Amino acid sequence: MAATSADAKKVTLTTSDNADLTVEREVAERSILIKNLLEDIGDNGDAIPIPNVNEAVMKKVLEWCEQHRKDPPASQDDDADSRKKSTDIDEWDQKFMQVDQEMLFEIILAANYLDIKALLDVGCKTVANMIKGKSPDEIRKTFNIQNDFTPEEEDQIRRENEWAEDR
Amino acid sequence: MATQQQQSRFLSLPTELIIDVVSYLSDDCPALVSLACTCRRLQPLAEELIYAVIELRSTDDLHDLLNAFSRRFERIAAVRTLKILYEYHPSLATTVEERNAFNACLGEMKGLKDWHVESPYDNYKWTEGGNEWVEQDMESFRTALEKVSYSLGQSLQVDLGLAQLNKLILHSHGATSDFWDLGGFHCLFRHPSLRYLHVSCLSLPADIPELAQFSSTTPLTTLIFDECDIKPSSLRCILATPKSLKHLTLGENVFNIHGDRGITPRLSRAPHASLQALLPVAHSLESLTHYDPIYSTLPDPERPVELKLDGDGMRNFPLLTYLECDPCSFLYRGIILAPTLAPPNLATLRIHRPRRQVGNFFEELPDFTPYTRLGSLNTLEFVQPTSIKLPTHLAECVCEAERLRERHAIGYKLHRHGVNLKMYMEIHESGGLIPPYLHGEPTPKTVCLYDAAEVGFSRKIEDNLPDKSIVDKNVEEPLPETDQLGKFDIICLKNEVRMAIFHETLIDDTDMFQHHMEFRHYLIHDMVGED
Repeated sequence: MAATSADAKKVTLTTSDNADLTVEREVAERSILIKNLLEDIGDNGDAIPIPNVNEAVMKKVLEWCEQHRKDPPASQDDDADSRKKSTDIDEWDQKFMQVDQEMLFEIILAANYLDIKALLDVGCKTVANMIKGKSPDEIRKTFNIQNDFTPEEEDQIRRENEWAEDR
Repeated sequence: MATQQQQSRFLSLPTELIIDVVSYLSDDCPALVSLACTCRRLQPLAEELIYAVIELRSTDDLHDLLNAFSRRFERIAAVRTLKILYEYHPSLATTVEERNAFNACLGEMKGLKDWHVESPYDNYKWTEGGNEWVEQDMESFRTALEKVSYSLGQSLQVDLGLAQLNKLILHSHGATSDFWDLGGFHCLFRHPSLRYLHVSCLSLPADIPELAQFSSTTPLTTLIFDECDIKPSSLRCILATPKSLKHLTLGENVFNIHGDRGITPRLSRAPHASLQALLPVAHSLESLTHYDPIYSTLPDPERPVELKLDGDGMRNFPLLTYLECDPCSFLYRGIILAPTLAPPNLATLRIHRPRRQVGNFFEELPDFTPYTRLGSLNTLEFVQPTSIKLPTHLAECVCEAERLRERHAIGYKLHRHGVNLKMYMEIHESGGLIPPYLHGEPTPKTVCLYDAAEVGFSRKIEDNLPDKSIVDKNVEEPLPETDQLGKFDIICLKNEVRMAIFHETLIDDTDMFQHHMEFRHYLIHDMVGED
């Protein structure tokens, strides 16, 4: 059976838990990993295995890709030293990121693996915003971090870094 | 407990992703300080950013910083940007020991890229302890720089502080005067990674033999001398060291001429030697600026006489597209007025008037014909300094009808030669401030107040204010080319000039409101009041 032109633009991804997800190629190509794979192997209609991402996370990631399918490609600003990194997140992305921590970190890992820089940025900004304005204890509670400092050590470190706090 | 630690999803991210997250907190120091206190894993990642930028506005933080450094050495290596900008205070002398201890850490600042130093004794306070700054602080800086610079018979030290330095701004003075001698600081020109160097009030010796062995070795691309005593012979030694210098500012001593230090223009008095000094960078230089005190020694600086130079002039500077100087500079008199010696691809020529020279480009422009002989030129800019900040007053001066018409007629002639004429006002906040502009001092604002291309040369000259029907009609038929300006054009330009100056010198919103009301008043006055 001949594929219609609309079908030809679709790709199928097989997740780690063996689910097949079919999406438009343009949406999937928000992932640089998938884009490069498609360019390398050619679009022969075979499903592309994504062994590091399960169905639930992949669906979430594809939802983001769908929303951002028309975004211009990320600008190549390689100024890693530039210190002005805004933690502003647009409204849709903020809502999108209102998920439990398990899912939040899965999205970050998937965005990293799939090479979707803009989604990785949104994920990292979301975590950064969860740190802002909190005491060390609140940060530990938020992320379930065990305090491996003695109270004296913690106090010492705070005092050593105090000079920086009011700048 | 160990299993609980593993359950932190945040901490189980790969380290590079945790670093990504933390990097979004780089301008939120309280968050970083809290994060550093949470656990051993996050402490170094947060501190890497806490210590990345250190700006010392006073000596008060030195004690705490030294303590922090001594508790964890990695904090020293984390410093990427260091600004030593101590403000002067009468008990500064009591901080020498702490300053010395801090300066000793420079040798460990392996990650330092961007370093900015201003002496607290600048601005005429060197007699209050400036000698200690010169003999101790500056000497520590020099020693640290020397250790990582190219030197004969020694292999390069790449694992020491300052070895990765990219940018250095250094404003200092002598032990008892406003100028400092280069002395052993020739290491500045032997640094293996420095790309940007800005120094002020530096007095160069006649010769720098120490640099002879280091031709075309350094990666320096931008070199700025500000208010320096530059001798052609030592300039040549210095310019021989970079592999490909792109941007050079030759700021001679124009302002610091009080006391026993008179006006000593060196480059324009020795034009051949000065051109020789520039030759080592002929292959790479893209922009060149010269601030020259010679105008105040000439009988008629308004009409500088052409210099007859032998040789190729700047014909062998193929990449030089930008040149800035005043009409008395050897570059103007020897090169611009003798177009066969000009750089072959010069695109922009900016002519500034020295701040203390009388005269005004907005009243009278130099003869335009020499510029039409520069085949590659496409932009000609004039910069006029002023300390007047009042938009309405400046607009009256800049847009006086006859002068504006004359200016536009010259703009048209230049336009016919493919050159766009632009005129700028350089507005000085305070007449008392002179270069180098130190931290927090307002720098002059350069505002474009005439751009021939923007004003354009296609219009129908109407004696009366156009009503809407005429404007609409004009759109349909092509407008004739003309060098004239109508009354209405002049009113519009005047208003644009007011707005441009106003936006550059804006202080706060109340200003904005007041000025807008004032502009309306003037605009209405211009439109109905004038004949």
